[in-house]
Amino acid sequence: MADTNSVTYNAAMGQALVSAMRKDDSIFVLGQGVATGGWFGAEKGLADEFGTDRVIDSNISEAFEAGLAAGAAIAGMKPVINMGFGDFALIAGDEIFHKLAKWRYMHGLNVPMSAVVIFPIGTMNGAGPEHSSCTEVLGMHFPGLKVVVPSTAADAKGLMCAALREPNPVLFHSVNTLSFQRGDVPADDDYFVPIGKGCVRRAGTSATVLTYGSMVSPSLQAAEQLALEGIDLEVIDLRSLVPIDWPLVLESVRRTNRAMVVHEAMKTAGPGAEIAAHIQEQAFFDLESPVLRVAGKDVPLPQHGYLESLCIPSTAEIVAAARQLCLG
Amino acid sequence: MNEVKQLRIPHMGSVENARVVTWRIAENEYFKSGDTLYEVETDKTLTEVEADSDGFLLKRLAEEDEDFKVGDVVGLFADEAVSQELLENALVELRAEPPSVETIDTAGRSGSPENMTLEAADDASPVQTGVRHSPLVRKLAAEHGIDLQDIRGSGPNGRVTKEDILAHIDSKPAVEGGEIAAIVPPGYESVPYTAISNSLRRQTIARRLSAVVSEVPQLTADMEIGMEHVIAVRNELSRERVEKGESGISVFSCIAAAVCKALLAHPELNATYGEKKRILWQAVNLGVAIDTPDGLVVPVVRGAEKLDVVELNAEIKALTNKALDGKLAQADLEGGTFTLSNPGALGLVLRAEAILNPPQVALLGLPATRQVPVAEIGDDGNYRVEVRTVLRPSLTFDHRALDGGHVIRFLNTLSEYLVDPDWLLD
Repeated sequence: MADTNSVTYNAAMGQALVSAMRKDDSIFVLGQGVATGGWFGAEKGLADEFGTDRVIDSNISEAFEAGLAAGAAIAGMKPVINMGFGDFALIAGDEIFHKLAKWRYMHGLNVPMSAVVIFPIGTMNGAGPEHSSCTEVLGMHFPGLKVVVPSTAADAKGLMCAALREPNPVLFHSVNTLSFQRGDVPADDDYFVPIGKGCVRRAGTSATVLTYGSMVSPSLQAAEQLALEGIDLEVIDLRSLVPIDWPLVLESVRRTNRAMVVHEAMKTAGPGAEIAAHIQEQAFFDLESPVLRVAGKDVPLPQHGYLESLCIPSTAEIVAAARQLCLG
Repeated sequence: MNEVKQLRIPHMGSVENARVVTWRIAENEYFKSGDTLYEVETDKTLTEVEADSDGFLLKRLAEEDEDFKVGDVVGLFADEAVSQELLENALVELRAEPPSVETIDTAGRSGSPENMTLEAADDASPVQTGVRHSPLVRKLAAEHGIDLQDIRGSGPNGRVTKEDILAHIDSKPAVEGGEIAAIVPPGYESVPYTAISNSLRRQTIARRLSAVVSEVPQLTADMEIGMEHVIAVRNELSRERVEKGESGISVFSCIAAAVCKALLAHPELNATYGEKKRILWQAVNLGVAIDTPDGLVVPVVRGAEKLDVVELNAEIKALTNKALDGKLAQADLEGGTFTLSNPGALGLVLRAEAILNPPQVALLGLPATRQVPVAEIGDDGNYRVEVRTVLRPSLTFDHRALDGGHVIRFLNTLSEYLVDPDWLLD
């Protein structure tokens, strides 16, 4: 393994942007406050190196940003736009889910639609119902998009690197609570995590936990706690939701015969619904128990930090669900 | 009204099990009343099942070579095509319906609707609500041919877990490789072999013969009968007929006719044994064992005692042809009261002892008719060795129903009829 540096999650995204922008003039970054480092610091220092022609502050108009990205992409540029908060991407819904997602198909795959749309997602201790959403399921529902959610600083760099090489638009979900979390990040400029490949964060035999983003860490904590009781969880970090690494998922489920999905996004019609349905379609006769979901409560998230914490899965909830899965 | 209707395995006498062998009508195909819908192999025969009415086959619910009980649903039909929704509703209803169970009354009659009961619902409910097993466990059980009721579950509510089932499999010797490995005896693992699936007929033969041998005290008596006269009469009969362009009469038919006549004189051999009572059948329904490529079958000549030898010969010939063509109907195989087995037709068999064909109490086995040296007393009082044509039939009997005396008297009568066979010409 090459050298690594201790880098924050968002700075790791920035590293990938820098190395790609040095090699490829068609890449530019646009968003609210990006010229001064962006809301979460991913773009810190970019404008100093590449100037404000390539690192462009936009006004507060998500529809404009995404529409510009769609136009630039079809003209052969590689826009990277930051929605500031993923919640506000809904303002640009038509531009993202119809235009960016569909134009490559509508033109018989004969046009490039390289674009990275950064969706900062998730709760961050009281940002309120309109600044805390996990909207990644939307990207799963509109064909034409790829969807990634890194859970570590290294993956933030590696997946951004992969997104910048994609001919398809990528919805890059950066997890708010992880923004300033440090991790060992490979120093290699071209460090690359393929889109569509999950990874086993903890190998186990009792049950498979399928998770991503903010819930990888609590799932691993739950696994350590349960190991003391003799329940040996396998924790898979999906990393990509479009496409999902089904071979990895199904191999694990067929081996452990039990599965649960853990995500912060709301339960009803969330990513876990799709994942659980797919598992029962493909591996019903390998299951010992129904596939469980541990997910965000179906409520607008409270502003109050404590109430908010009750609405997203805790380690204790994951532990309880895993016990039910393995012993119930 | 175009309703979805169920196609069920029909009642075929005492048949309980049926294997759907071939479908003759495709899904989404019209059929007419009387068309063959599918063929079933039963314990006894291969039968074509015909449509009772015109219709349109919506769905086959039976795979070819799948086993069923009489009354099971094997398909859905209607007057014409129906919507997908209607069809699915019918399938859902069908899954909710408990399987039918046929009961057979003590006299062995079966098949009429009034002795059908639906007792499965009551019987099955404690099992189904008690323990429910996971899809994985059910799949493993099916793959290894394990009845989950045989395993004590360690999971919640006594559920059998994957570990339980794997432990159960490990605890059984030689199940590795499934059912076939299970029948390979220890010490034979390295001997090359081919495994052949037993047909339902073979399974039935095996089950019934095992039961007879273990339950019925049976004994065999042999007798020597001179055959010159009956062969001469048979030749005479045949010659007349062949001259008229008709088929000849077999020696076997002559013996069969003599057997029927002897049974009228000794009805205790044409009987069925019960602990308190025995039934003496008033008709001779003569079973004739026939060797076919698919195994032994015993079609029955009904009312054989009323037939003369020519008629009997024709009946036996017709049944033999049907048996060899696999065309025997269920009715051809039922109701036998006495059986004739004729291994002598297949080779130079010296002795033809057989196993009883229940619920009959006696069976006559015929070895080959042979020329043998016999010590004959001459007019001068001295013995001379003569070559004689003799048959040494073996009469196997149920010793619960019959004693040796009954049997020897029957054989004496049979011998008289064959040694002095002029009655055949009447």
